[in-house]
Amino acid sequence: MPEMSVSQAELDELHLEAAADWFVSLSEEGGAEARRRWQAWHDAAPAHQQAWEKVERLQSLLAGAPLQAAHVLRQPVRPAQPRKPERKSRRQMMACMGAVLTSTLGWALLPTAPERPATRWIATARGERRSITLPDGGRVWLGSGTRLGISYDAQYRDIYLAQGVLQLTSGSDAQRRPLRILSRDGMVRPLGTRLTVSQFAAHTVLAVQQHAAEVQTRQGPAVRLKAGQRVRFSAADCGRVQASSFGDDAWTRGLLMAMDLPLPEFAAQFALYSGQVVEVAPALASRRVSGTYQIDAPGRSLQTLADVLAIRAERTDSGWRLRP
Amino acid sequence: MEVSYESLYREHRSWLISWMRARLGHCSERAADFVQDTFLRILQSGTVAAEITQPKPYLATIARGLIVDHFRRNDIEHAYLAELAQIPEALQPSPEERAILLETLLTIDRILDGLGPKVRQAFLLAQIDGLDYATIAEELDVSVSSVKQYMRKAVLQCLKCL
Repeated sequence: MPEMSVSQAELDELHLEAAADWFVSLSEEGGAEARRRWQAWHDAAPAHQQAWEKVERLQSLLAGAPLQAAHVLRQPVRPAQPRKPERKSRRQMMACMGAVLTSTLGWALLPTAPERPATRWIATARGERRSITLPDGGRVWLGSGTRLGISYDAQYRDIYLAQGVLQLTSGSDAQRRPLRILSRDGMVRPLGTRLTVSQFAAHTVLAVQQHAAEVQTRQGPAVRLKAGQRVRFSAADCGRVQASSFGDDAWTRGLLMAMDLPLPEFAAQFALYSGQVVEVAPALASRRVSGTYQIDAPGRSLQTLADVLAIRAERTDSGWRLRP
Repeated sequence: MEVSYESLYREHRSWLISWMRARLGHCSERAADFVQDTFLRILQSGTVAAEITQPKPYLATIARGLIVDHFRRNDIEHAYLAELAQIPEALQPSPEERAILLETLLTIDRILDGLGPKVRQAFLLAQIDGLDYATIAEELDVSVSSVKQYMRKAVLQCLKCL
């Protein structure tokens, strides 16, 4: 077949087919000889390497799968077809599924799973901020790049903070189920409250604006905070309780307030609340920042900061860099 | 007449909400959320509103896809939670890990979508459980060469989706 007659799409498909064949035969017999032949194919053309990159993407996806994946995904869950209005049958089916599971596994092993309502996940994009109402009438503000799950079941009102920042104003629950915020570094129990939880790269900050809250790190004792206090905690330990700076919830109003903050700390907060990447040159690590900055206008804010500190703010491919 | 995204939204939103309510049954209080997501998806897809000649069937198609995705997500999450319920507390993934693992499950599920049950199982048994082709052949009651066929088919589809 003359090559001219083969379209690019067809060629791509052929390379993908070859990559799939290699993947299958390598997983079958991964001997040195097979590897050598694969290497020769791989190195022969850039298009082969591109096709193989997809195999690598697939491998890393599979490597990240939970142990239960084969079991959970074994059945194509349900044919992807439009559902006609026989809605009730689905509900009955879920009930049956729950009954089957409980009867096979026994109540002791499966106290809540079958009846547990699905977690509702909500996420914001970088730089986005929004507020939602909780089923109990409470309110949550989600900061930039935040992902949280809401799961109210018979026992608990759980909010999973997978990443980012939230401010919670708790509602009241007729059933008096405890409210919990479950985050990477620990569990926060609001006690009739308004509070913020900010999850940074290696630690989390809880600040209480009203009433009280308790934080339980993954290891270590529970620590109780009153209104006007904040604490920094990681999975391993909980820092000292400090007076909360007035600005812990300023991001809900689009602001970042700094009172004599070290520049790297300011940059980390600015990055978290604005969704921008902000690098700080090591030479500036000891500089300090005070003032109010708008997180919705990151370019202007960082330029103002640079003017005030007599430093430079530069754009980079991924965000901003502050340097002398 | 100029058809803008706004007018598409304005003119069809309440129709789509009733359409959605009728299909969601006991979940009908979520209809407005789904409708919002439907319009969001159209906006994100970059479809030019003026080129949509039959708005209602078009909206219904997108909305139907969203509902299917939603229930599928629920089903997988339920199945995963039921599996996790069998693991001791100390080995439970953290909420964050759990969220990431669930996303991974959903991605794998999506790229395997449409493959036959045996193809799907062969792929999962080989790639997740690490079984060799002979064992899989026995498990699925097919020949080893069929297992290879299944694998090739599944892997190729995955590569096309990634």
